[in-house]
This record gives sequence, structure tokens and C-alpha cells, in this order.
Amino acid sequence: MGADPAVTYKDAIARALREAMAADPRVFVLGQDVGKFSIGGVTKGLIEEFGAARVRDCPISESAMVGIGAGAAMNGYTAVIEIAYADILAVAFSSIVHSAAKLNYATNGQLRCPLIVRAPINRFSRHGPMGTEVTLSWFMNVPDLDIAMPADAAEAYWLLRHAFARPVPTIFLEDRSLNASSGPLGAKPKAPGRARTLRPGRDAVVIAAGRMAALARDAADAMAASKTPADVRVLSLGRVKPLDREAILEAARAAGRVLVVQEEPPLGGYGPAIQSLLDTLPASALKRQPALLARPETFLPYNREEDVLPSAETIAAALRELLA
Amino acid sequence: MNTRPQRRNDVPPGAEPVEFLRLMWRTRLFEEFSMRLKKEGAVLGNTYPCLGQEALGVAALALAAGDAVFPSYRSRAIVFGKGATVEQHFREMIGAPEAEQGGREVFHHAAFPGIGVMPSSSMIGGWAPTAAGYALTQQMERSGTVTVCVIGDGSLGAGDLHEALNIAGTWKLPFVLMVENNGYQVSAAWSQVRAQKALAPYVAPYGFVTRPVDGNNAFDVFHSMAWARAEALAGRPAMLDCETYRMGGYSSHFGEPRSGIEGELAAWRARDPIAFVEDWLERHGGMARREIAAVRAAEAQAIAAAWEKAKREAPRRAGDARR
Ligand SMILES: Cc1ncc(C[n+]2csc(CCOP(=O)(O)OP(=O)(O)O)c2C)c(N)n1
Ligand SMILES: [Mg+2]
Repeated sequence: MGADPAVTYKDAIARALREAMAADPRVFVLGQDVGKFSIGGVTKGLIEEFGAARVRDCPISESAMVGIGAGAAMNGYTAVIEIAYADILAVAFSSIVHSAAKLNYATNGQLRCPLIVRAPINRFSRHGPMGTEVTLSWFMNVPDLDIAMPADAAEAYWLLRHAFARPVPTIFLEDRSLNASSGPLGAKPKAPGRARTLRPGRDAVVIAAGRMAALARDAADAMAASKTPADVRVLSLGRVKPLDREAILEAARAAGRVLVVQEEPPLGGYGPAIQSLLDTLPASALKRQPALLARPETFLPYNREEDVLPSAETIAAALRELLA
Repeated sequence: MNTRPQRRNDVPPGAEPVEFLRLMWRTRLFEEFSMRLKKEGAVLGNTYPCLGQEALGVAALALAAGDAVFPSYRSRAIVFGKGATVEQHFREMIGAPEAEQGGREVFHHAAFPGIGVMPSSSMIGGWAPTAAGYALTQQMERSGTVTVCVIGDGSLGAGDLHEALNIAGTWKLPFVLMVENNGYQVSAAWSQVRAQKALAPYVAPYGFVTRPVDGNNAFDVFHSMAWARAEALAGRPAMLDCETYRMGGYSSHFGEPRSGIEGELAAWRARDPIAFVEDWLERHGGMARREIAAVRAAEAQAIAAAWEKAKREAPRRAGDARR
């Protein structure tokens, strides 16, 4: 086995994108400031390598950018659309749902719509209620739409690679606050897109995605090293939709205690979806009622958004309660 | 950017005026037939007839097989012009399992990608970006083909249309915008929803060459699409502003929502696109009245036969439609 050097989360995304463009001349990039000036850094160097026809700076027309991706998919192309930050998905919602996600269904499989919408979550960018939202729950009930929210570099890399192989659109919610985090990419997962155990543990399991999974791992590590140690597993969803029901049920049965953590309010998102899934287990399967730690039903302020979001500390506290 | 060529009634090269007539009768008789089916409860889906706008379909005859059309919901004529059959349409209407959309998408948005009839959208304006995306791939492939996006004039209000036009104009896509400018948006006359009736003042600044078209003159429609296609292929996205009039209801479920239009109806009845071509065929095409009438009869017969066949193919579904 060769060395598997650490790669940052951001570089992992850039690498998966570059490899996909090198492998298939029908992959192209749409976005604002994705060319010579790569505003987010992920597309840096692509225009030099693949040319301006495949790395296209666009006007501020997110709805049309996604619609163009859907139209291009009708002719066998895969567009990777960079949205400046996830909140802006709101103005492309109709194109994502009606033009892209419904294409395969409405045409009864005559046309497929592989396309990737990269929408970075602008966590801690101090952009306030219209600039730091997660948006995942907005898309939970849209069939034929994948949602990926990677927790670390390996997940980011393999999930983006996987998205290119999918016949449906993918909303790729990368978290900017994880950009500098790094780790080895590891070998290609045997079943790409499946949930992944970030950390083993027997006493309880935290199920989460993206930054919440990363924080849950920190919390679990700290609890393992504490004076009253607990052995907590962290299951990272990675690809939130389709939801890996099998892995969730397996992890819940094995640990008997489940904490689900999400950054969005509790009325939608993977949290309530997982809770209702766990309701299908016989009462004897779990030792405790599954718990959901979520943001209260509020928007995010530019000043101290962390106060309303779950943190490693609140996750640990919720786990202590679950283990008591 | 704007060019104002003469409207021409001469036979364009490559055109068969009797084909114009066949296509227009097929369209009109199909629309009337399907309205009847809906009224009788024989089909579930609503219809959005293009009565009076049949000549617009002739644009398809000026296109190459590899050209793509993203129709509006009132573009039956151009969909037939691209080669979709009446029988396919009936299968869609019935929701027959063997229909291309499998009974999922409404028939007025039915896509037949194999012949270049691409999906429309229930979101007005929403198919302009997808059409632009398709045109972008044609440009990247240097395929020598174009994409035609057909919209009603009411779509001018939709943001998606403007986003798509700005991009198509800037990127010089092989893109033709064809406007079914019938002056109404359901019940609202154009003057209630925009300042200018013509679309050129809005579209030209985006980088389009534009041309006003007599949408009730099949010859002008054919010439104009041939021109627009050549322009678009030469890196000049084109817009055809086809002035026409809806000679009937908005849809089977809303009926006629316009009021006080008796004068307009009379004026436009005198400009009937089918009578225009029949007249031309008699005067310049060397066809006898009897031969001209036979065109209509043949289309009527074909439609009735196609319906019988569609019913036979999916008798259970057709019978169920009353639910
Ligand atoms: C975004 C959106 N808003 C509203 C509607 C409802 N609607 C359907 S057709 C229509 C009128 C369209 O007018 P026009 O484009 O001129 O077409 P016409 O019926 O005249 O052929 C409206 C308002 C819709 N389908 N989509
Ligand atoms: Mg109209």
C-alpha cells in the first residue's frame, strides 16, 4: 500500500472535480467567478487546463444556470454548477425541482438529469440570515434528487466522485468551515454513497451529517478521554438522500441509544426523517427514546450564530443525558 | 441588431405549400377533436388549443432533423411539424402505459426527444434556460444544429426567460426564440402586462437579431425560421416575434376568459391561416378546390382512425377516464 497523504477538504473537492473533467470532455463548470479568478478556490487552474468553453463565468442567473445544466444533461453533458453560497439556492429552487429533478420522472425515463449543484454552506462567514443557511431540509422531500453533505475530506472526495456516476441531480452541500480540515482520502468505498462510521463506539450512536458529524466526533473523542468515559459511535450520513436506512437501523440496534444532530430547526431535515425511521423498530430494540438535537426554530444571526447551533459541548451534554 | 425584411408570400426554396396545409389541418382538427374528447369525458387531461395559430407549426418544416424544439404548451403545430404523430398524442392523453411519458406528464408537455421535441415546463419561462443549455451543448459540439425555444408572449414577464436570453445572447448560442405573440396572457391583454406589444424592444438588447413575423402567414413563418436558423448558426441568436391570435378558449378547463373581443375575433377570422394557404394553392399552386378539400378530409379521417387505434390499445384506461 502506498502512502495516503492528508488532503484538505477543499482540495479533495477540487481534486474530484478536476479528475471528472479530465475523464469526460462533457463535464463542464458554470458559476460566477469560477474562471481566472476562482473566488472559492475550488475551480482554481481549471480554466487553464480545460479552457473557457468548459469553465464558464456566468451572469447572476442561478435559476438559468441550473436550467442550462438540465438542458445540457438532455444532450449527455454533466454541468457542475457552483452557487456562491447555499442560501442562493432559493432563487434556483424552481429549476432544481421542476427542470432538473423531475426530468427523468416526467419524461418517463426518456431523459436523465445528472448534474451537480455545489452549494457551500457559508458557516462562520458572518453573512447573517441570508448568507449562512444550511438549506438541506428544503430539498428533503424532492424525489430523484441526491443531497450530499460531507463531514471530512474523504467523504467530500468520494461523494463528489460518486455524484458524477449518478443519473439524478445532486445538491452538494460542502461546509466552508471544514475547508481547512484534512485527512487521508482512503481507498474507494465498496459501496459509495453509504453512511460511514467516523468513530466506533458501543454505548450510544450519534447520527449526523456534515459539520455536525465532525463536531460529534470531537465530542465523542472528548467523552472517551474524560474522567467518566463513554464509548460513542459516530455515524456520518455523507449522502443524506437517498438516506442510508439500513446503516441507520443497524447502528441504532447495535448501540440502543441514538442521538441525531442537525444544524437546522427540527420540523424538517434528516433529523425527523431518521426519528420516524427509528419508530419502525420494535420498542425493545432501543434502550432509550431516540433524541434529536437541532437548532431552535430561528434564523442565523451574523453575530454569534454559534449560540443557536449545536456545538461539541451541547452534543456531549445531550449524550450524557441519553446515557444517564 | 433589428432587421426588417419584407414579408414574403412566395414559395420558399425547399418548401411544399401543400405540406403546410396538411400540417395546419392536422393541428386544427386535432385540437377540435381533443376538445370534444375532453367534453365527452373520454380523456382526463386538459387541452390548450392553438386554434388560429396553426401556421406557426410550419416553422418546423424549415428546421433540420437534428434541430431541437422546446415547445410551449400551445405549440401543437410545431410538435406535429417535427414529426410527432396524432396517435402518440392520443396515447399521452389517455395516459396509456405505452405512451412515451407513461401517463405521468400532461400531454401538452409531452417530450419526444428522439425527434427533437424536448420537454416543456409547467413553470412559464422555465424551459428557456433548459433550451439554452441544450443550445450550449450544440455549440460545444459544433453540431451545426440549433435549438428553438417557443414561448407565449405572456412569458415575457418570467425572470427565467430574461436570464436565459441574457446568457444566450452573450454566449452567441445557436438559439432561436420563437414567440407566439397572441397578445393575451389568459384573460389579460398585453397592455395590462407590458408596455410594448412587440417583443423586439425587450429581446434585441440581449444580443439577438429579431424579426417581426406574420404568424398567420405560413410562408412568412417558413422564410423567417429559415432565416433565424441561419442567423443562429452564424453566431447571432435570433428572435421571431410571430403576431397571431388565439381563435378560441384558453384551455378546456378555463374556456374563454377574454371579454369584449368580438371585434378582434372578426378581424382575425379574416386572416385565417388555413384559408390563406388554401387560397394560395388554388391561385398559384395549381390545385383544384376539390383536391384542396381532400387534404382536410384525409387529415380528419386519419385523426378518427388514430383515436380508434389508441382506444383499442388501451381500452381499460380510456374507459377509466371518467373517474
Ligand atoms: C410561473 C408561472 N406562473 C403562472 C402560471 C399560470 N399560467 C399558465 S399559462 C399562463 C399564461 C401564459 O400566457 P402566454 O405565455 O401568452 O401563452 P398563451 O396562453 O397566450 O398561449 C399562466 C399565467 C404558470 N404556469 N407558471
Ligand atoms: Mg399569449
